[in-house]
Amino acid sequence: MRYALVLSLLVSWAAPVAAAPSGPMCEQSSVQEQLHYLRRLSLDLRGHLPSVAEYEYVTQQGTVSAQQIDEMLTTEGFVERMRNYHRDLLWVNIGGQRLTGNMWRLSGPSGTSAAMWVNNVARTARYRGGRVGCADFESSMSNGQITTRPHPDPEMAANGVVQEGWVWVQAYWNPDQPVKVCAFDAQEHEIVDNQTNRGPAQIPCNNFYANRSSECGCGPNLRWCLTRDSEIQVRRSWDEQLLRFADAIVRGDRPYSELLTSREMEVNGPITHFLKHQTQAPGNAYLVTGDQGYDLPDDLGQHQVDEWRSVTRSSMHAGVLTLPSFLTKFQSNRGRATRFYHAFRCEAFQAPPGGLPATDDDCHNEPNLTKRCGCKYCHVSVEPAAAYWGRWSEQGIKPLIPEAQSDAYPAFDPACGPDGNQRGSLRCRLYYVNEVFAEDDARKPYEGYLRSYLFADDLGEQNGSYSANIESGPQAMAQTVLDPGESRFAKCTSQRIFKHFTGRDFRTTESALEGQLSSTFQTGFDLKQLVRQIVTSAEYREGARFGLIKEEGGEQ
Amino acid sequence: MRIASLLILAVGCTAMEAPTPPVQPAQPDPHFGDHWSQVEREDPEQTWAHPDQVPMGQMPRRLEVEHLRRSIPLLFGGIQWEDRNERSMWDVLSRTLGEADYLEVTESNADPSPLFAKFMDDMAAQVCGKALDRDAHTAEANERLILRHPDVKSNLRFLRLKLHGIAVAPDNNEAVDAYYQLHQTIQAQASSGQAWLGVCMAMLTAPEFMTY
Repeated sequence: MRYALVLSLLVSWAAPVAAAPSGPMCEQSSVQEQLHYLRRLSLDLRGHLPSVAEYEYVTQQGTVSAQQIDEMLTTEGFVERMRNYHRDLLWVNIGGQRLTGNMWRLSGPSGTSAAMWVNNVARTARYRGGRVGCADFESSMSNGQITTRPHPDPEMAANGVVQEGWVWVQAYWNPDQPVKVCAFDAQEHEIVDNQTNRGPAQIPCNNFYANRSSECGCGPNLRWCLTRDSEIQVRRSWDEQLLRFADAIVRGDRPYSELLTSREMEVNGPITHFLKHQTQAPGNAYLVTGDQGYDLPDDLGQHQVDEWRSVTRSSMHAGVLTLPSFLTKFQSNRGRATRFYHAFRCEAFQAPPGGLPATDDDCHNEPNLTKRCGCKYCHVSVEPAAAYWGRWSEQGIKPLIPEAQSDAYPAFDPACGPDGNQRGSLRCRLYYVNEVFAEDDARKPYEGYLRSYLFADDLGEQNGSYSANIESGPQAMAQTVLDPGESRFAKCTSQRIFKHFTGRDFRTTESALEGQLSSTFQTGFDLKQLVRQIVTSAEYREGARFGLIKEEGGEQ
Repeated sequence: MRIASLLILAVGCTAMEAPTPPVQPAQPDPHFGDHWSQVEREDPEQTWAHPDQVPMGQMPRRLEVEHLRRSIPLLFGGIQWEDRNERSMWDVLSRTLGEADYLEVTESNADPSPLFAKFMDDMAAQVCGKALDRDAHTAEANERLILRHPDVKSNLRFLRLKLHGIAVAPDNNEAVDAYYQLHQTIQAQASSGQAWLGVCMAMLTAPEFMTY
């Protein structure tokens, strides 16, 4: 082992060195203090250690100049540092979220299929009569039909199971390299005859009707189906989209309040393809819509992962609060409100000590959480805050637009109401208070209303109604913290950024600094100015490395 | 807990600024197993390092994994800490080293834990070894990563500045003596290359490098 001797010597060397007596060893020259300051600035602002040349420059100059700090603030390293801050702030990672059902999931060749196929019982039963893929031969057509052969297993063949061959397809995820796909799965028909006696006579092949005909496949270039990798790309792209959104504000010196208000956003190939072609799949049809309130570029293919285009979102949108990554990470409206409070108000919901009664107390039967014992301490604030997302699907990213040419979501929909003819539909069950949901007397009056309206008018005399929050949306939520009167966003951001760079909260003795930082920040939401103020403050500079610490009472 | 863990790194102040020459191997005190040293916590000379007595703003912080991920290639001419498949070990060990993934862990852990220290030993061994290999094939002294000066103490001063941000004056031998002794000890038993490997590893795993 090459390092064995070195390591053994290091171990024996390290102990006596570090245990040496202290005495005045920690005294530092002012130049050394500046070198430590430079080191800290570089790590905090750029994310890496200074170069030897930078150390030597400061040694010659005797001080870290304001210009050096400003230069650090304009580096991509600073943008990257703030990217990490935002990742931490909003827990940016939606890995693991399923974006579609198995009926639209292409998997690779396996023991039961010679080519890529959709391993879904509904599909395979209609194509082949059993849960098998295709056989290993190039597919052919006969009389306009895909040629099939009996399955080589006699027992399966006796049960009518057949197999087709494969075809070469230029898949959307890599147009340059054709892939082998089972012929049934590779079909490109847009609309076909319904082979069942349920539903319309003709059905589209890109939505939940697709399993009603053996002529429905994954569409041209397989565009309606996802692979494991393409699904991962969409998730990663949404995370990247949020981080790029924040990057652009930092890099462009735009007011930091735009984090909550801007309607500008970027989309790349995977996002564009998903929203254009894959939102009608089962599991997606009610939670995602191709119409997100912005126009998608026409010139982006799914494989263009690193190509990003700017789009402007509709007035329903508000900064990060309606970005897919945020909505998917925090899937319930209460979860979204809780994260908002934590990240941008620096407040948490917490019941007072002893506030939660015993679980068998009858008071728990109160259906309204703003009134239920124990729960009310938080939910009297949580419910009105959550209501701001009342027009966004939970467990999804779909805007519930009140007035639209199709797929509209009025506040009250008679079809989902007590006498409605669609009360049992998925749409009513997902988004409206329906008969299942309204099984008790307290909920009955809300039947047929969007679920976010449940109890929204019933906070009691002291707290009033919060139904207006539902219609005003997340942008109104943002304004509640941007309002200069309360300055919650400015105060909270100042606290968070200060802690980010110093590693600690404000001390009680630093209220003047805290107030100065937040009031300055409120005037223009200038993030770099805030950071500059912090890293040039005495509080930051004195927080140099432990090696510079003077004993209490000692001279600085 | 975090503060207590930081103490493990913080105790190195005296070693950092003016280490004394090492005495020959002492038996490690079995009751205290921090990575670098034995420390008598009750020693009044060192009570300044106790977290309760260090002003809040002056507590050292361990370098983040991201700091190391970005700094190591910059310090060592693009050399990275990698596994056999050339995957970044910072990414492979991201969770183990304390980085949050925001799926199961939402807060990064910057404790200088024994596990972290162990992997930093591995990192230092690999990175320093690669850097010395490259230096051995670099004719121009100014382009070398570690072996910049033929004089040992001059080179130690260069490395103290490069890795620790500590400027050691030409007439100040005290601040490099410990590393000089280490170099001499290893060289006497092995080779010059091994001696510089030991020095590089010691510097990369020292509190002066790992904290800020």
